[in-house]
Amino acid sequence: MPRTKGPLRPGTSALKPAKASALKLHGTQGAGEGSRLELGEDMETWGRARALVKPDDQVDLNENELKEEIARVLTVRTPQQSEGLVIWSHKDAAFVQRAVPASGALLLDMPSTCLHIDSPEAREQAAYLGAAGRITLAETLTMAAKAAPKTFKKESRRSGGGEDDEEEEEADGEGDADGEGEADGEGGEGKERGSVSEGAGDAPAAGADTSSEKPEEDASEGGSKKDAEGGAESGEGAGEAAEEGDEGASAADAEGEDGVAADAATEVFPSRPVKKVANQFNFCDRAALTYNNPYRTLSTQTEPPPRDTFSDQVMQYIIYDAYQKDWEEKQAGKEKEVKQVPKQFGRQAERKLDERTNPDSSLNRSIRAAKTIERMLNQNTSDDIAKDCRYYEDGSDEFREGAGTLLPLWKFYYEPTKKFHVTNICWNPRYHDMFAVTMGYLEFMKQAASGAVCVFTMKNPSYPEYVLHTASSVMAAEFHHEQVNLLAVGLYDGSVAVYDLQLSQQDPVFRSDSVHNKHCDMVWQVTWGQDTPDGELNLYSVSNDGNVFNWVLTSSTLHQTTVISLVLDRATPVAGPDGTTLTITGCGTAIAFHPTNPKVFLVGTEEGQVFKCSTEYTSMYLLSYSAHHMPVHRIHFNYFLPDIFITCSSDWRIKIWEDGRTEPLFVFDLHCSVGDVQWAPYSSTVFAAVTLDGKAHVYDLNVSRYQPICVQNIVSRKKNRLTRLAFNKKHPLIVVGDERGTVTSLKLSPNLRVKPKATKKQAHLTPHDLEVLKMDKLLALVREPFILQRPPDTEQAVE
Amino acid sequence: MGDAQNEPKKEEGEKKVLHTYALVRFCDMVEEMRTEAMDLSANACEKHSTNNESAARMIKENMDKKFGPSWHAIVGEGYGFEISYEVKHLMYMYFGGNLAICVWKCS
Repeated sequence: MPRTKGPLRPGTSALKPAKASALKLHGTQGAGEGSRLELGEDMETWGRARALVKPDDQVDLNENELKEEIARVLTVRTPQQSEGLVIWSHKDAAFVQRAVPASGALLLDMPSTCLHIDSPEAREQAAYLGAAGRITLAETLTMAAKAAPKTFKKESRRSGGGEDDEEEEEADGEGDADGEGEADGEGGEGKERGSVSEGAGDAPAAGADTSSEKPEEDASEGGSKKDAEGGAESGEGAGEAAEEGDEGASAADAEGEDGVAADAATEVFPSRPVKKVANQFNFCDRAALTYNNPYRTLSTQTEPPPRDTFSDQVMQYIIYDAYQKDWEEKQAGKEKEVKQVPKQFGRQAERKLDERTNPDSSLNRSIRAAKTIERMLNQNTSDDIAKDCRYYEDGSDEFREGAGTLLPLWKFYYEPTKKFHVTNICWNPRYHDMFAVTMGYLEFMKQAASGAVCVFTMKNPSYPEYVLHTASSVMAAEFHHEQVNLLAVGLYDGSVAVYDLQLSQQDPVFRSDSVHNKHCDMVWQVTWGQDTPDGELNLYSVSNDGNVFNWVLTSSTLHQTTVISLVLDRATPVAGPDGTTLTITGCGTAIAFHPTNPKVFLVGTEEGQVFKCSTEYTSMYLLSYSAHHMPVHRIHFNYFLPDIFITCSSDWRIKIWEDGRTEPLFVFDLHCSVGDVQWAPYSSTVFAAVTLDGKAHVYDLNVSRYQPICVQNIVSRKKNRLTRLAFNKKHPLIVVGDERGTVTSLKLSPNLRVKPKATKKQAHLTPHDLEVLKMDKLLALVREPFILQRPPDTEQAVE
Repeated sequence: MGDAQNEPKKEEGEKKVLHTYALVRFCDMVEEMRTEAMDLSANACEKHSTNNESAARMIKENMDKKFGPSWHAIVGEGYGFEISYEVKHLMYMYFGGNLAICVWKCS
C-alpha cells in the first residue's frame, strides 16, 4: 500500500505543506514494519521532549479524522476529453472504439551523446578519464584547478537539492534508513551537522566507528552508510555531507564549524578525479597532424600547331567577278569535254554501248566471268612468281659491286603464234601491266600470209588479253599516249591500221587503203604524233620505201601526207639508164621524236645513216649522222636529257649521241647484232640491249663506261634469238621478245636500278635533277673540248 | 549611236545570270572537313538568309561541335579581314551570289 502511493507523495507534500505534521502519522501506517514503528516512537518521544510548537489556527483533529486518508491524485489525463469516441468500421460492420488521442505534447526530443555532468555515467567517465588525464594533461589540471572550486560548489548545492528528493524516495523504499535520513533533513541541528560533515570529510570509516558508539552520530553513520550502499563514490558522499554541513552551518547562524566545513569541502576537492570541464557537458578534443605529400613541379612544352595568316577583301563586285570567272571556266571545261569525245568514234561507241547494255549479249557477260575466273586461277598457280615480281630483291647484289642480275618471271606466248618472231613490244602507257606484242617475220625470204598482235597482261600469263589477227606480218605497234585503247599497227605489206581494243572486234577501226594510200614497202615503225590543232589524232610511220608518212585520223579514213623522203645524196643524182637520173632513197627502219620539240624527229636507215628532220621541211634534213654501217634498229631518246639519244645496229654497236654533235659520245661493241636498245625510264645512265645470240645486256654508265653491269642469257643460243625489248615505265621490269613468239619478263635486281644519292649540298634537288646531273658529269668527260686556234705567227713577232 | 547604246544593254542582259552555288575561293582543309564545312555554311546561310550573325553563329557552333574548338566564322557581304589560322583549317568561300563566308580555326 505505501509502495503504490509512494510516487504520489511528493505531489501531495507539495500541495499541502501545511499538513506536514500529518506526516508524522506515517509511522502508524507502517505499523507492520518494526524498525519504522520504532522510529515513529522515537520521534514522538523526541517531539514530546522538545514541546512541539503548534500554529494557533491548526485544526484539531481527533484520532479517526487523523487516520482518514485523503487521496489527491494528479493525472495527465484531460478531464474534458471524452473517452467514448467511436468510429464506424466498414471491416467489422460495427462501431469500434477509437483510440484516445494522446494528451501529451512532445516539445523537444533530442538524442544526444552528451552526458549531464551529474549523471552517474558522466561521473564514471570522469573517474575513468581522471586517472589517466591527470598525468598526461597537466595543463588541463591547472585549468581545472582554477575552475573547479566554483563548479564544485555549484554542483554540491545542486546535488544537495536533488539528494533530498532522492533521500525521500529512498526513505520510502527502505524504512529504517529513511527514517534516519529524514531525521537528518528535519532535525537541522548545527552541531550535529558539523560533526557529521567532519566525520564524512575525514573518512567514512571513522564515521562508521563513531556511529557505533554515539547515538547522536547515527545520522552521520546512516548517511555514510547509505553512500556506501548506493555504490556512489566517496566524493558524492563527501559533497553531500559538506552540503549538509553548509546547511547546518547556516542554520546554526555561522558557528565555528562553518569554517571547518568549508575547509573540509576544499580538502575533498583535490582527491576527486578532476578533468577539464568547459561546460556542464563533457567534451573531448583531439587533434592530429598528418604529413603532407611533398610537391614536385613537372612541366613540358609542345610545339604549337602551325599557323598562317590569310587576308582578303570582300566587295560585291569581287564576288560577282569571281562567280563570272568560275562560270566561264566551267563552260569552257564543258566545251572541252564535248570536244574530247572523238567524233569519229561516235558510231562505234554507240554500237559498243549497245553490245554492252543489250541484255541479249549474255555471251559477252559469260566471257567476262570466264576471264575473271581465269585470272584467279592464274593468280593461284603462279602465286610464287607474282610474289617474286612484287617483293623479291636479289640479296647477292650487295657482294657484287655494281653488277646485277635479271630474274626471269613469266613467259608469255600464244600457242598459234609460236612460230612467229616477236617484231616489237610496246607497253601500255596507262595500264602498267599490259603490253602489246607484234608477231611477224624478220626473215624476209619466207613470209607467212598472216600475222598477229597479242596484248598480254601480267595478271594473266597464260593467255593474251586480246589477239588481233592480220593478213600480213605485223612489224610495229604503239599505244596512243592519251587514248590508251587505240593501238597503231604497221604491217609488212606497207599499210598501217589503228585498232580500238575496247571494241570486241577483229577489224581495225582505221586502215590505210591497200592500193593508193600505203607505203610501198614494209613499215618498220609507227609512232603517234601530237594531236593536230583541230584535236585530230595522227601518227607517223617509217617504211623501207624511204618515206615517212603522217596519217591523220579523220572521221572515217586515214588521211596520208608525206613528211619526208629519205634521199641519201640530194646533190648528186645517180645516172640511170637512158639518160635519166635517179635519186637513191634510204630505207627507213627506225623513227624517234624529240621529247621536248615535237616537230623534230630522227630517222634511222638501213644504210646506217641517221637523219634529223623536222615536220616543217619536207625536202631537207636538219642534220645527218653517219651513225652505223648496217641497218639501224632503234633510236631512243633519253628520258632525262632530251638531247641525248642512243642507237643500235646490226654492226654490233651501240652508240650514244648528243643532238647536234656528229660524233658519238660513247660506243659499245657487243660482238653480235644488236636487235634493240632502250634507255631505262628510271635512270639517266642505264640502258639495256638485246643481241641476236640470246643475251640481254644492261649498262650503267655511272658504274662502268666500258663494261655492262649485267649480261645474261635469256634464251638458248642455238635455237633461239632475241629480237626486241621494252622497259616497264613504272615497275623494275623488262620484257624481252624472241624468235619463237615468246616474251620473257625479267625483274631487274637492285644493282641495276641504283638511284643517285643526294649529297648534303644537293639536298634541295629533285631526283630528276640528280639524274640529269649524274649524266651531265659523265658527258663532260667525253665531250670534246673546244679547240682554241692558235693565232698565226707573224714575222714581226718572231723578230 | 543608238546601236552603240543598245549593245552594252544586251550584254548586261546576258551576263545577268545569278549564280548562287557555293564557290570556294581558298581552302586548305582535308577533303572530308572541306565538304562538311561547305555543307554547313550553305545550310546556315539558307536557314538564316536574313540574319548573317545567326548564320555565322550556327556555323561556328557546329564546327566547334564537329571538329573541336575554337572555330571562327565571318559571314557578310562586304568586309576585309586579316586573320591567322591553324594550317589546314581555313575555308573561304562565296555563297548565294552575294555572301562571303570565311571559316577558320585558331585556338
